[in-house]
Amino acid sequence: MKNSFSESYKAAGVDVTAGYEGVRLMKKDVERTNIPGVLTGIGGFGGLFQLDLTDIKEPVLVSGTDGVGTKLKLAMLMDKHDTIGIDAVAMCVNDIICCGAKPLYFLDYIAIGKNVPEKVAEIVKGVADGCVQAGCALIGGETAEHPGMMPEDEYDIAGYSTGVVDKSKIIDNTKVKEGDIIIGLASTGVHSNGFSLVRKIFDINSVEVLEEVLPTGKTLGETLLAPTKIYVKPVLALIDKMEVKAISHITGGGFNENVPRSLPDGFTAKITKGSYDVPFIFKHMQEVGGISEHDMYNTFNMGIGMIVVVDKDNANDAVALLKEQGVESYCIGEIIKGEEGIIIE
Amino acid sequence: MGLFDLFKKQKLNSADINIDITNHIATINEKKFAVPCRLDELTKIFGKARRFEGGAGNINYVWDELGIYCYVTAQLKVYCIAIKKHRSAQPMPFEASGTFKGVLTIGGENWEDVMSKGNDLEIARERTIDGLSLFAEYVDFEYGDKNGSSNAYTGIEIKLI
Repeated sequence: MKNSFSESYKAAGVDVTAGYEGVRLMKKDVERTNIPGVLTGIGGFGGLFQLDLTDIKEPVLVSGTDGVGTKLKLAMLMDKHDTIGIDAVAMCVNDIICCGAKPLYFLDYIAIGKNVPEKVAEIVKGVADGCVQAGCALIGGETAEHPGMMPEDEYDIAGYSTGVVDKSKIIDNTKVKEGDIIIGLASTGVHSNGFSLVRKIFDINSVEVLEEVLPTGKTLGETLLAPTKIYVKPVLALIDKMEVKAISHITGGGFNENVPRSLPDGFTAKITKGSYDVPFIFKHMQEVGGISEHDMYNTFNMGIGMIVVVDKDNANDAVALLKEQGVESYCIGEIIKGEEGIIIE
Repeated sequence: MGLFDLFKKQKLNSADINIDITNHIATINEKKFAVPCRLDELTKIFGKARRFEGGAGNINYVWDELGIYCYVTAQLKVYCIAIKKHRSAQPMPFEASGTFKGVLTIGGENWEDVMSKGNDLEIARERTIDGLSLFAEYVDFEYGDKNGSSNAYTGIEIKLI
């Protein structure tokens, strides 16, 4: 393969060789994400997906797009590119399920300084892993080489996803009432938000900083780069078994901003301190950075990647079901009347 | 036919061209020579070519009306021969503006049949055979002419490795 490439493309100034070598490497990873409904493989102009509307009377499409922010810098410093794709998928599909929609497909966009097929294939492997975790298909993507616009070894990734939900089953918080229980689903770590502050706290400019071994036994780099948890399957399983009244994805803006986002006006989330153990990395960041507790909760997920609101009679069953689905969760608070949005005490 | 007509060189039509490349021996209209070859081996057969020097360091000699073009080194050694079967939707100056209507075989087999056994790269097929590196872009890829025939490829590049 290395000896065989198109002179015409080279003459046209386009390194297509790298592009289609990447396509060849990616093909297997993409194919394993296929679910019923996928009509084409990669390489065509548009990704085709045929909707199965069985049991859906009034289909509503729900879409989301997002990137992974400056968490990328860590992946690049560590030269570890096989999990950042999971974050790209997570940021989109975790948003989509907040209204009860099931993600159907995902597409990625990678802008890269120099197209190195092996690196792109590694990134897409992560995307494929994320899609498999979410149960959605990777039906397309774009890898755009941007020589001169970014350093050769740097890249950015963003994703787009569409899901479907029956209109009558959209989770829109209108059934939230006083006394409902807030269940927090454990995060795997920092997830994909707050990394500008993370990099500032630890002054991350080189890989050496990330090699520090933490008391947990993992390096700082491993801890920070841990991929965002994808909650799609566990939450959809929960929705299937009981009434879920509200869902919040704890994303940009941290715990404080996102917990109340799913609540109707006039209701407040009262979070009980100590209802779960805040993971070490957050305490460590607070200590090293001298950050106030308020600012920590305003920036990071503090160990909770998603919250769901259920009737208090269902709370224990919800925690048990989520555990069966592979997610640790905790009853972290309740809904009260009030305009504060969130109270932590 | 008049006296002077005897000395008038007949203009070569691509439909009259028969090329076979087998194991680095090119046979063009029954004239054999080793490839990679010198440029003048080709100009003796095809006539004078249009020269194009590209920004990517490529030097091309192009026979527009025949649908044939080649890539040469600075020493005018031909290291890649290409034919154009369908016009490009966005023609490049280094490639032939016309189309090849003759016969091209590789190892005695029609080039399109040869390429059908190559690796599918989603935008083209690629194959290495007998020291030749072959690349043929699909007609329905964006640089191909979508109104081309049902045949698969816009043309073929034969790199002489």
